[in-house]
Amino acid sequence: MLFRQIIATTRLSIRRLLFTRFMVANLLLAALPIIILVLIGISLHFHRMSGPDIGTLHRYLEQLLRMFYLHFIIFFVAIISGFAIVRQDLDDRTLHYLILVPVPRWAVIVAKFIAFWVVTAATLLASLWLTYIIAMLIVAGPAATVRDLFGNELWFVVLLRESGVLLLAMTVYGAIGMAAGSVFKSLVFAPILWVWESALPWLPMGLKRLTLTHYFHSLLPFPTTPASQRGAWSAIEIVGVPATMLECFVVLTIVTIIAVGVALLVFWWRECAYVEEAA
Amino acid sequence: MSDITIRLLGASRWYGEILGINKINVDIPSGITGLVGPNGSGKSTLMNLICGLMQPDQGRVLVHGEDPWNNAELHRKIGYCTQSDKFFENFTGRQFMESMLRMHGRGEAWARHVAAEALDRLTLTDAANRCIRTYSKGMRQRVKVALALAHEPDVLILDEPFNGLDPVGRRELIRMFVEYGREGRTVLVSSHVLHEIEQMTDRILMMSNGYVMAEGAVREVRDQLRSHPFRVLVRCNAPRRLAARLLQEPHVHGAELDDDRSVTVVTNDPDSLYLKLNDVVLEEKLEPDLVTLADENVSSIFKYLAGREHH
Repeated sequence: MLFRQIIATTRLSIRRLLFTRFMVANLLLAALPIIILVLIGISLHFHRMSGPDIGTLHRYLEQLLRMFYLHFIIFFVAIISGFAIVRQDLDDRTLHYLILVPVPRWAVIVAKFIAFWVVTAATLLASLWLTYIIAMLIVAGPAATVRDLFGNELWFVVLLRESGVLLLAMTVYGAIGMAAGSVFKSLVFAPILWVWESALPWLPMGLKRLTLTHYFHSLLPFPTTPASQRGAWSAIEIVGVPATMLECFVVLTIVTIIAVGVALLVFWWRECAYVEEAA
Repeated sequence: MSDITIRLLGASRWYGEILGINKINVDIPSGITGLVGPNGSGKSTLMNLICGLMQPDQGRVLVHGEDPWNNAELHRKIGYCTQSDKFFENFTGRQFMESMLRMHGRGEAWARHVAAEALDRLTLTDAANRCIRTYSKGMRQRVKVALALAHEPDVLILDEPFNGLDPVGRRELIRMFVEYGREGRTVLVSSHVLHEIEQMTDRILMMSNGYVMAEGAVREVRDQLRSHPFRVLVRCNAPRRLAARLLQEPHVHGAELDDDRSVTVVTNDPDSLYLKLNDVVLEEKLEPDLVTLADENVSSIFKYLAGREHH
């Protein structure tokens, strides 16, 4: 019965999340690289120019994941969704509906986290894979795209690995968003955290370990591009020693558990007080 | 008493500096109990505590012998129609009902069946596939009642359920609640209008300023209030002379001179005071320019009871 209740709460939360204004912002953010690629494709077509070779394109795509996705799109989409899924009931003053049903409060938070995960993972994975496919179709055409995915290069596996890191980052940032949504009324904290996370390349090694992006980058192949070929990108590469896989999973798991725990704790003690009725 | 369903034991609740309810000791048995009192008297606070939406700062609240706070299983036995008019606006009435009922974990078919039945009882079937945002105030009110009733709870808590309903809708709901109470379930219903409560039950709880001022049958409550001291403010040209005359009356317990133009008279029988006041004004040739109950909340309650006598 509890499983059914969690599924029902998840379905309700997904449906509600899809209709928030935050979701529109998230879809726009996720669509941004696709829109840019389509514009580049149109421009190349009209100027009868050829795009980069596949090797260069791969490097661009890697950098796109590290710079644009990890540092920007995943961060904001996950934080905003995590924040919204907790905040919407408080802002809409519909929280009492969730408290009055016979679902334990911990199960409500678990269901909300699953709902966040499903919606945000679908959005971000679609964005990442469409970005790759559209870029390959523009540069090399359909046959080369299939060869690239399943041939010698086996980019299918590379994309799977990068999708895994994307999902991990999304999970951790989403949990932080949920904790923040339980405590704060606005997303003011997000830009502050973003600045800290984006400062990774310029931080001394000791402080790098205090950013989450350090661990996400550590899970991706390192160094991603030979230093001689990095060119203008070199400034934003990870500088220093990457964390081991074990360190990464331990740190990211602890952060996620603490963040979800905060959301759960706050929700556990949350009251629906209609103060206007009070004397 | 074995049929006591809801029990408040010295329950107090504050909103920071503001009093919600204070040291309430009350037993609510099965059947219908009316909760009356002016705005801000603590009715909704009391109901929120019973339904586990809030915790008491002091004392205990028990429903079927259990604390309702964070007690998910107990919520299967409670249906609550809140005063809040907030919904998932982009859901249809049917989607809203089914979504909430699915969370009982009794399956899709049960949720669909029970939602359809409740919507039908509240005559919302024709509007069930329309978005809630298009509903009138009365329809929204009926959706809330439908949700509270749908899972056939043993304890039904209704906070101003007649708000926004037309007379036919009110009559229909009153009939439904009476039927529910007759089945041996516990119904606690609040209203500003004593007349509506009286159509359902003779048993009332009267609240003011966070306190239960009186409880029992309407007649008993009126008698209990007779012993409650009322403060009547009279402004006139000779307050000292007026006070001296009124203090001779047995129902007047005291008089305080506020300034050289007003006096506050304490009585447990305002009706008799008003009658006597007329006599004194004529005999002493006074010129009163204000006669009013000094305590606004008591005034409101008094009006309820005065209204009852006219029916």
